[in-house]
Amino acid sequence: MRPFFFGETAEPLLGLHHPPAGARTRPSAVAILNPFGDEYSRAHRSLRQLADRVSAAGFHVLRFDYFGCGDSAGADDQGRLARWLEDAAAALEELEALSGASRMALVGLRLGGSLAVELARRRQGIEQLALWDPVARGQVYLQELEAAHATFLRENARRARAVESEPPQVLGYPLPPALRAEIEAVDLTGCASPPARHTLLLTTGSDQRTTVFPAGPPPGGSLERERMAGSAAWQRDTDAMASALVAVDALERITRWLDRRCP
Amino acid sequence: MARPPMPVRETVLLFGPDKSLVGVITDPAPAALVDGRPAVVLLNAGLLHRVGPNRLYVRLARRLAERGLLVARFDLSGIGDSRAAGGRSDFAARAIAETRACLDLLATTRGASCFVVCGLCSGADQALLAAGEDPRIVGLALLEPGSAPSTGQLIDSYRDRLLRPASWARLLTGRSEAWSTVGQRLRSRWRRWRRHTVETAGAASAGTDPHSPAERMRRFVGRGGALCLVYSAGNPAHYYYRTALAPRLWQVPADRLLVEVVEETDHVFTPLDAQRQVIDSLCAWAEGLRR
Repeated sequence: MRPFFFGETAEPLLGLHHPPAGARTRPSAVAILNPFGDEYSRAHRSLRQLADRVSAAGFHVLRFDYFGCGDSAGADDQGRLARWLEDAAAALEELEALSGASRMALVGLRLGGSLAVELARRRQGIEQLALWDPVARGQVYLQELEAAHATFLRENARRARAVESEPPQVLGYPLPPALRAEIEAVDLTGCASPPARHTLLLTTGSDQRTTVFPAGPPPGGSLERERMAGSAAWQRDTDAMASALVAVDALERITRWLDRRCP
Repeated sequence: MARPPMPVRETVLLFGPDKSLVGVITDPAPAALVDGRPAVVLLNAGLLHRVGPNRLYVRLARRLAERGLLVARFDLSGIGDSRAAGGRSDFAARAIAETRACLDLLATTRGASCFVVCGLCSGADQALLAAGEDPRIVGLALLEPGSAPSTGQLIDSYRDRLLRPASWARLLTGRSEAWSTVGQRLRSRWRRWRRHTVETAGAASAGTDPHSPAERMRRFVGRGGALCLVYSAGNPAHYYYRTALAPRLWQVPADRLLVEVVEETDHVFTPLDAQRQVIDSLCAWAEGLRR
């Protein structure tokens, strides 16, 4: 694995390239799109291990941090979905240059899954989408985040009202109005079919009621839906410091699917 | 309105004997660099990767660099993006060696000669251990450092929670950490009984154990080290500070000891106001340090 910065010199983004570690190198490459905020921290270990597994199967893999997140440039309150979509497109260009691959697969977790769908709509050459608990409806996601934040305050702050006002925040991260509005507008339910030939929709968390892609796969393609209860390593039901939980079964499922669906 | 570009430069790299540790160095802008200030190294908070809880370490590193300090944060082996170490070496010994490798990196590539090591929770504990082994460490910034458990600490930590309905709800639904604490204490008692140990928790709490955090901190300030201790108000470690540490540190000059208590927060300083207070305090303390 090789860490590097890419993108504009004044606003570099962190990239982590996992070259193929197996006997063969695939003509497809895989980019992993992170979730946001507290879920990003909790999922980091799982997504690192996912990258190791997928690269061991012969793929070039790229993980990266969006602007204003993780090790990338930018303050926490500068993040915007529109910008993160541009970051993801820039990451794919990096991955193309690193791997020589022209065909791309995307793996997206939570808000990263929603971004992966939007990116695949806009960009040619994305043939596989593995969506792990994608945020299907931004409104529901915000309600969940804000409920979790309220629970956190009740359990940890003696005078909760004193710390819940300004600036707007959820679980340790700013949620500026512009980002909130962008997230609120996320709605995958308006998407009848996935914008990629092959799609895996893996559901491990709480939002299991929303139906996405009701029309099924595109002609000649596939759509696999799978529920794996209890494998949501990104969820806030454990201590923040114990983010060692790795959803091994979900990682294996995604790796096997990529192995089968990608050339 | 767009903000001005960051007046700091960041480099991500692999270092260590087999180039398997992932680190980010934050260099101050040349105009901001102040000679004589120690470089700062941030150690992992528990198993969270080098950005820290809620990205606290990134913000802290950039603020320190804006004020003229060189900063590095990295992942210990097996944490974050650093490769797990082979073999069966002891974690604490390995963490000390890897912290030293980071200090060596800053000494070799940036000419740094003295250091502040900072960490939260387990990171604080490892920083304290590293300071006992490396005289180049002249300052320790310990956020929520560990303590030697005692009955008084246990009572103190649960007193407030008894008054909160949410705590009772967690207890009765089995989600309370009290159950694991009780389990740990019973297992600990059982092990001590099995080993016929003569050391008591009370002795450790009082700081008479040379390996206790209190004694390690006393030795560190005794050799001239500067100490910054940051606690969340409800944490049991704050009780340990009041009962075991404060009596040993009261003679330390004010310019070498800062104790900051953050109200209305959790162990990892989740509320933004708490994060701001931690960063402001640490920056002010570190700015005052000279070689």
